[in-house]
Amino acid sequence: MPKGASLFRCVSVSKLSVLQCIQSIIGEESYRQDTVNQWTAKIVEQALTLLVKQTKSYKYIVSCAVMQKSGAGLHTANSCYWDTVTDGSCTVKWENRTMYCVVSVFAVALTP
Amino acid sequence: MSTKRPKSTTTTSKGKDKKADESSAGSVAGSGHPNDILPLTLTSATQELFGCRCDEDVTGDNPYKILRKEDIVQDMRMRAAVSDFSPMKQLVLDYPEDELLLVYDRDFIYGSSFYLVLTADAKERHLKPVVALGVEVALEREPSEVFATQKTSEPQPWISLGSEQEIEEESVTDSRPRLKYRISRVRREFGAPIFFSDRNAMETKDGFIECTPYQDKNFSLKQMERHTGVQTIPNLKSSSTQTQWTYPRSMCTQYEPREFSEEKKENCLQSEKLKNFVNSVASRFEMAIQQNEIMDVFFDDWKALSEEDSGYGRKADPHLKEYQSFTDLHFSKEKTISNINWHPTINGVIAVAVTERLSFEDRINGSTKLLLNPSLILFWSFSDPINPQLLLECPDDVFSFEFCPSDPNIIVGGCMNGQVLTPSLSLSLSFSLNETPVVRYCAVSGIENGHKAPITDIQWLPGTFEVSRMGVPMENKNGICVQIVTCAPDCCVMFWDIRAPRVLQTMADQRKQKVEEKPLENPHGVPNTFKHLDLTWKPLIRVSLPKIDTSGEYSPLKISLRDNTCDNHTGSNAGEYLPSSSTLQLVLSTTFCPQDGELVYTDWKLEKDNDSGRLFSAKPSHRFIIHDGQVNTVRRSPFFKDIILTVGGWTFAIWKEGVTNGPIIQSSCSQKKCTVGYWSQSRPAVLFIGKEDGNIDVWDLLEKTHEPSQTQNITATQITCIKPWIVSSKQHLLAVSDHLGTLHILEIPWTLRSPSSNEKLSMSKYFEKEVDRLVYFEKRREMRAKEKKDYEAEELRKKTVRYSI
Repeated sequence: MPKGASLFRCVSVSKLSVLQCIQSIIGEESYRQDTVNQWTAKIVEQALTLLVKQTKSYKYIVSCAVMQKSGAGLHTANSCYWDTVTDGSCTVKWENRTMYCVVSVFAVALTP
Repeated sequence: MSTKRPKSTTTTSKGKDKKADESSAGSVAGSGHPNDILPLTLTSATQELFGCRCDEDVTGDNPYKILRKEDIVQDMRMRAAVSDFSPMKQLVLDYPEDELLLVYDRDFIYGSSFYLVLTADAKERHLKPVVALGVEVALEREPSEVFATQKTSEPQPWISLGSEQEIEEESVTDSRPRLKYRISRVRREFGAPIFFSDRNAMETKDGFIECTPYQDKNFSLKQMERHTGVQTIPNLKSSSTQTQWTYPRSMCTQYEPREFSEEKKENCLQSEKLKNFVNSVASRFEMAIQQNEIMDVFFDDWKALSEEDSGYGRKADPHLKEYQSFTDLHFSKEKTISNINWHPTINGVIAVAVTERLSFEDRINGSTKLLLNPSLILFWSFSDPINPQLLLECPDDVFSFEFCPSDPNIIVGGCMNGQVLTPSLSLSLSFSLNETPVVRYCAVSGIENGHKAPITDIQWLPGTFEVSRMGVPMENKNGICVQIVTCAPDCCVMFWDIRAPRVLQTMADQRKQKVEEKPLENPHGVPNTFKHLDLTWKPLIRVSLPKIDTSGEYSPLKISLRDNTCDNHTGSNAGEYLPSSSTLQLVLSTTFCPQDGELVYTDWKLEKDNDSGRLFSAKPSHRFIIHDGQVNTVRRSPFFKDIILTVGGWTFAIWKEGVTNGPIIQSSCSQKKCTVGYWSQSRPAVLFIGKEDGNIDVWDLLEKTHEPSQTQNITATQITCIKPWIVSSKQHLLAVSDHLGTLHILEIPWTLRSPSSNEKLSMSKYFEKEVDRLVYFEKRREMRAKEKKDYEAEELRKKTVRYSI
């Protein structure tokens, strides 16, 4: 498969799907400390499931961070050492009134 | 389940207990029982049936009962449900052997009274161990330790008691068979070249995510309360200043009016304008001055119309008020005061001469004692009424003394023995010590030179006069008093000079004087002022008083000098003025004997007798006998120079100089003897008379002349001296001394000290009137005498005519 093009397509599609999944889980919610663990777990699972459904031979790594909106600042960065042609990543930042959610997806190609 | 375990119990019990222990040790659960036994309860019927009645067939010692299986089955068939064995029917049927063991559980260890052993093995176990145990029990009766090991026991087959289940639970075993996978890969894909490279965070837009911080009000806590401490302190500021020190300098300013310069003044005076002005105005000016001379335009008629009414309220009290009185216990006890004098310059100081109060005979008798008591002149000051300020020591009692008018530090006194002494007060009287200072006299005249009798009066010649040795009065250019006049009852009047006799000095004397001018010793601290006079003092002139009619001499008691002072101050205009001897008259009061009182008027000039060339004194010009007793006062009025007051006996008289007929006023006889008299210093018409009984009579001649206007008692004894003194316009004092030695100071009230308007004029008019009266009286007497003579002549003629016919 055309790896580069598919990768980009994959990225945008996966972004949308991840967003949908976040929205479905914590879209209406306000930050609550006792349930936020469940949310992160759900988000990650769902995102991974969605990605895997695309039946591409990739290794996926999904991480999710939920932060309460309190005026503090959060800064993350990531860098990779991979095959830039075949591998890719995308990061999604979502927020509502009370919290931020940052999900990052890394896709590493599996040689067929 | 547990195998046979070694007994570890300490309690020893037989059979059943052992068994019970064993089985209880073997059981795992507290309420459970081993599986091979079954606890059951047998009714008494069943017990009887099977022959296992409690405590009869089966006991604690023998709890086992073998039961046959067929019996049990039959029982179960017969009684079906009622049978006690029915619950375990199956078990019984399954039992392989024929005989079951029933054990009597006496202690209900398994919950019932019996239990049935279900398996043969258990049966065997129950039966056999009893036997074995019984053997062991017999062996081990005594209590022993735990470590009893089975030495002789043989390994028994393991009996499961259910513990292997627990082990099985704990052990890990596979719950399912293990899965096996087999993965294979194409060989050629192994070891493919990898092409890895960095993908940095910055390269892609997803490399980093940031959530920027912001100020969230929900999470920013506003501190509503805060504990702080506040301290206020005053604002401290230190600063300093420094003034520049400048040198102090004395400065003065003198103002002068601006004047024209001399030249300008001259020019002004010489100018034509001034001359013209003066000429034009001169006549009018003269007229005005003349008018002023004629009449005083500033004379206030209204004011002069009435007498001064100030102090209207005070008119009610015309009495002399006592101001102060002085007595000294030491010095004036038993003594009398003979003379008083106010200090002429120092205010409030009065000098008093104190003498013994003895008659002549007593004096002679006690003369030795008197020599020891020094005679004194006391100085009193108003500030200290108890202690005299100063004492002047005198050789003998002083009867009269006077301050020198020109130098108040010099006093001249006349003593009882005829000596004249001058103490000199060089000390200032302003300080007072605890001890009254005593000053000794400076100089005293020699006894042979002085009077032979007590000096009764002593006076200074006025400063303008000087008398030479010839008795010629000369002008005293110095203006200071240097000469004194004394009189004593030894019929002498002497003139003394206090200056050193320089007429006698010759060259030899001068040399002698120089030698003598070594500083002499001053034993008593007396200044050397009058050392030249001491003990060598001689009178300048001695004047005796021969009687007019008869021979003999008068013995004077008091002197009054008529003084015509010439004005020396206008020296440039007046030329030298030598007063003639006739202007210096003496009025003397004499006594010939104590009862007589004579007044003698004389001129003391020494005349030269042409025959013998001796100097002798002229006879007195006039003499009068008026008073009945000693004339003790001859005083001139301070307002009229020619009016003289004489007091003596029971009356007093006023004389005018030049009127030789008699006194112009003579008072009536009073009840008591008059001892002393004095004119008032401020009122021309008032005079004070002191009496024998201590009264003071105040005579106001303008008010009434037949009796004193006022009498006031001052003291109990006779009054010896009166002296008034003007301290200020508001205070006039009268010093009165009495025979007991007390000095009274009285204040003269307003009525007696302020003159009425024109008093002097009225008095002079009054005197003139009296003089006229006298003259008229004389004329009338002459006329009467002449008439009488004529009448007698007429009578005689008539008689002779009658006889001749």
